[in-house]
Amino acid sequence: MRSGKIRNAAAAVLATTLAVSVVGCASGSGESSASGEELEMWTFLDPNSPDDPRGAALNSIVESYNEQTDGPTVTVRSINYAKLDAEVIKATASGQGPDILNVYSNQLPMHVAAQTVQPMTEYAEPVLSEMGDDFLFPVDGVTFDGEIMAMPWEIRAWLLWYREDMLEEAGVEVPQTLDELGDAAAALSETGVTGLGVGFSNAGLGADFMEKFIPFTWGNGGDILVDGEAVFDDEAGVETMNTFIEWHDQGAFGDEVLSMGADEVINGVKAGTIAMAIEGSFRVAAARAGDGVGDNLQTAPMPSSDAAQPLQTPIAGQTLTIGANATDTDAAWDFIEYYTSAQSQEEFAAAGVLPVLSTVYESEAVTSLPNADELNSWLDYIRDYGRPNPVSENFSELSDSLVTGAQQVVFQGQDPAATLERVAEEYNAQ
Amino acid sequence: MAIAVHPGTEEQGAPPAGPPTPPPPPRGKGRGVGDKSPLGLSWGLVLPSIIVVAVVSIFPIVYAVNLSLHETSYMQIGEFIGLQHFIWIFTSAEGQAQIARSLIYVVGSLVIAVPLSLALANLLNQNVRFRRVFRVLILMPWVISQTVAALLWKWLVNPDYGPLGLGETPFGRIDFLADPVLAMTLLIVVNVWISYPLATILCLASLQTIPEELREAAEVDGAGPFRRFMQVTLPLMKPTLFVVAIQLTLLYFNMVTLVYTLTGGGPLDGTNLLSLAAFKQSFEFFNLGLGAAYSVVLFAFNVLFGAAYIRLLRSERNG
Repeated sequence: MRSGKIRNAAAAVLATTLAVSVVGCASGSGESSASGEELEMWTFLDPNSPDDPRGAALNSIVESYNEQTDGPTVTVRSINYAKLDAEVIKATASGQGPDILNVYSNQLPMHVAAQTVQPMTEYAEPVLSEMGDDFLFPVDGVTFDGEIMAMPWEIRAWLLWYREDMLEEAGVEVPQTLDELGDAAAALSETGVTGLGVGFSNAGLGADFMEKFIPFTWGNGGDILVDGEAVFDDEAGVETMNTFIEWHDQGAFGDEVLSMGADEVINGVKAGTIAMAIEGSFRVAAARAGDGVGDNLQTAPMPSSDAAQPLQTPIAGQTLTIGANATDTDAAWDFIEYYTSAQSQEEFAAAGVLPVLSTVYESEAVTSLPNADELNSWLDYIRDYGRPNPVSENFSELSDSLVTGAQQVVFQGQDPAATLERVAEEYNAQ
Repeated sequence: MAIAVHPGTEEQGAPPAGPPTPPPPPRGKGRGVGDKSPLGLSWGLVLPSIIVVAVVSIFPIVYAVNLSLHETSYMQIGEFIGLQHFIWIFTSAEGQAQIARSLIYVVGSLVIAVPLSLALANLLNQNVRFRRVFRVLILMPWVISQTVAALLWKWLVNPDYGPLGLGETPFGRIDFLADPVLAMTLLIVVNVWISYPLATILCLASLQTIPEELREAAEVDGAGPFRRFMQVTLPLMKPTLFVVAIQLTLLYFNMVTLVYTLTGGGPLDGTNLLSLAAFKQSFEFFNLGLGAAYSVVLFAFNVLFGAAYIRLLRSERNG
């Protein structure tokens, strides 16, 4: 009987230990990452990247901040840009989200809806008021229900990229209109390369295709979203699709673009297998770092149907936000303010990033850069032809559906009007 | 303490008839561990397993089923909507196409992987020189991650610079990732490439348990190598082959990383499978309810195929 009691007691202890362990594990997983001693920043940039100068600039800024701060220091966690948003939403839901989060302005509505970021109006408003017109990024683009949710640290334009060496070799002039762009790309394709790289794959949720579809549709007099409703299923949208069909038919690009996303297009430009592309200003420096690329890669404003004026460029950019799980918001803002200061902007400018403060373009640090003229030309393009990028909570889904529709239209001969109407209806039904 | 009494023993005078029968199981309640075990110890030993299984297996399934029956907004569960998500998957053209593609992908991969593994296992079972080297080489794809394998094959079949890329041919330009049929073919090939080592190992292990005497006896009876394989080796390997088929089926139905990295579901949605749709709806579009419904459909397919294999195996044994 005595041994039976001992065994029963042992069993009870075993079961209790297990239960306590399970509960312990569960409660442990709910702890916030914000310790008060250290702030965690999640970003797509890799501070140790050997190829991307933006990573080196980030590293330098964070190190400088940590050296001068009396408060919590910042550690950087780099996550691939395609996974960053999903990781943040999952982590924040379990209380493990970052203190500071880098969000691309297009994805900001999604993060606001998912409640992964918290308002920063009380911190940002006085600073932005003081900056006034010096701050280039439209603040409306980061304001939701009257609350400023993010602080932009970069602004970007979309440009015509061309490999000067390849154009010269093929005897092709830099195109000034969309028609010339198609003709030039077709001529370049005859040399055995892809004349114009347009990412038609679903990689990156079709973002590369959208970056063309938006300005082209604007150029045709249309729009993408109005009051949250998809309106691209009109003549302007169809005209955009017809442009792609025409380019495909004349050989400006072949079926190979079906397997290309932004990364593949840029790698193609670097490798010399793609002669021209329409890509963002923010990637130029990284592309030029490729072997044998350098100044062979040149940019120009996106051509429109009228040689006298280029297409409007969407305005978007990277922002910093305060994570929903952040407990020390003062410290988080302190870092964000440092990160968006003129001094940090100068460092990013050297990495080919367009600063959001106009005075930075006049600073000695920027005017002495070898690419200062180019940065200023991009700034002028944004000032004269910039237009806020359409954004919505479900932009990723729209982008994925639209690129799938475009594949069917351009490569399978489906009707552009019917396809656009279907995509718009599906989006509006959500 | 209860003591089991075995009727019909020699001490009781009953005549021994044939081999001794095993004692009947004790009838007492709560005596799972042994007659002398206290109830608490029995449960104490079993409870950890029950808790672990409940937490690791049952809870996620129940949670996913519950999620699939609700509207969701990011990580928040909303209104109960019944079977709406499932109805959409089974009635929409997109959902039906995803199911069809998944079946093509799984069956296509199995049709190649199982015979290939069987053949390789037979080769590896031969007494040839450098047998260990061959075994290591054949197992190498197993240790490569799906992401690396996808990127490696993307490079290999690149039409411009890939060693296996066909590029311009007399029949036109061939780009595996720009044509839906070729992309699915490539996906199946790469899938087989990363999964056949597991099947080969299992087949090899099974082959090594078959007594050599059986094959020798068949040889003495005049059976050639093919007949020996078909009538001696294969029947004895059937249980293993069914296990291999179950394992591979589960692996293939649930495959996301490879598909996502290699084709992303394209081109023209040609490789957009159920598993990829589950992932994209859940973690790219954050429609967790629909994503969970896709997962439940996948789970159902897995159970269905698993049950079918087991039924076949049992009928083979009984037949």
